[in-house]
Amino acid sequence: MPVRPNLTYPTALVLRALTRGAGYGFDLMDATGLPSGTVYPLLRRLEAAGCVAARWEDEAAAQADGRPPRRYYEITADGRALLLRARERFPALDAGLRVSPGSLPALP
Amino acid sequence: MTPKPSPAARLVRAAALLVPRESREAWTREWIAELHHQRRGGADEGALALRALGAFADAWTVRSLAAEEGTEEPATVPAALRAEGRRLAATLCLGTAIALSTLGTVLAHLRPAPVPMIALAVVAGVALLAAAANAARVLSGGRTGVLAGGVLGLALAIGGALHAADAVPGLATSGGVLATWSGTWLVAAGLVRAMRRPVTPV
Repeated sequence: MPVRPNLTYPTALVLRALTRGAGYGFDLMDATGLPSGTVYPLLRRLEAAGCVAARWEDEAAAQADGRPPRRYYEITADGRALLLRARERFPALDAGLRVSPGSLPALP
Repeated sequence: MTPKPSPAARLVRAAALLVPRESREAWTREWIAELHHQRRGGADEGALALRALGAFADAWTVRSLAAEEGTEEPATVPAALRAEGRRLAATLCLGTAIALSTLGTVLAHLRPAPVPMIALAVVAGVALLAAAANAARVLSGGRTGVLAGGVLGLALAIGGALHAADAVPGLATSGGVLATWSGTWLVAAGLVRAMRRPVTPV
């Protein structure tokens, strides 16, 4: 059975934070102010629902930099559709993010 | 010498045990990489450990999703707790039974014998040993525990009755000691065998 993510405020925050571009787990925690025990489970459910896609950073590039590769998350078309629905429910969504407003791309 | 893992890394590795085996390595790698980057960015170990606590919720989510997708046997918290609870109950029953049956044997050695105490100890010992035997049976899925509890209870009851009646004191005392220890070892052996079996969710 396909996973259907709940359209909650934290879900919307994570999706909105991902519209800035690919992000990793702890980056999303900083951007949303949500704890790890909320962000990661959300990412798993969103990924299972096809709203978020995950990919590993290029290993060679990370090793050249002397660090382990990270796993990046990106919003998908389904995720964007979910976010648009979320914005109707939470109009002041952008105000809940801990990022500069200028870094957030405009939504259609 | 291998560097000592940080508290945060220990938490992540503990949480990883909840993650289905096929995705555990990648899951752990992601968390350890995040911790590494945070540490490089100057985060202190306390803050990292706090963030690592979220690994348990994440691990549980990964496990639940795997169960929903049918790639992992569903395991619920109540099931795990029930399995642990049964083990605990069995251990407590066994410990109490050993204590009471030993008390009965000690009392049986006293002269003059406090008959009501002996009778009480015998009854309590038999009841609790039967409970322990039943717990061992539940855990082992076999009849060994029941047999051990039955034989022990019967021997202890006969020994106690003989002693209380002062019919054959030597026989009664020997019977009580023999019954207590052989029965205890039988039940303990059943319990140990049961403990070695993997716990399957019920």
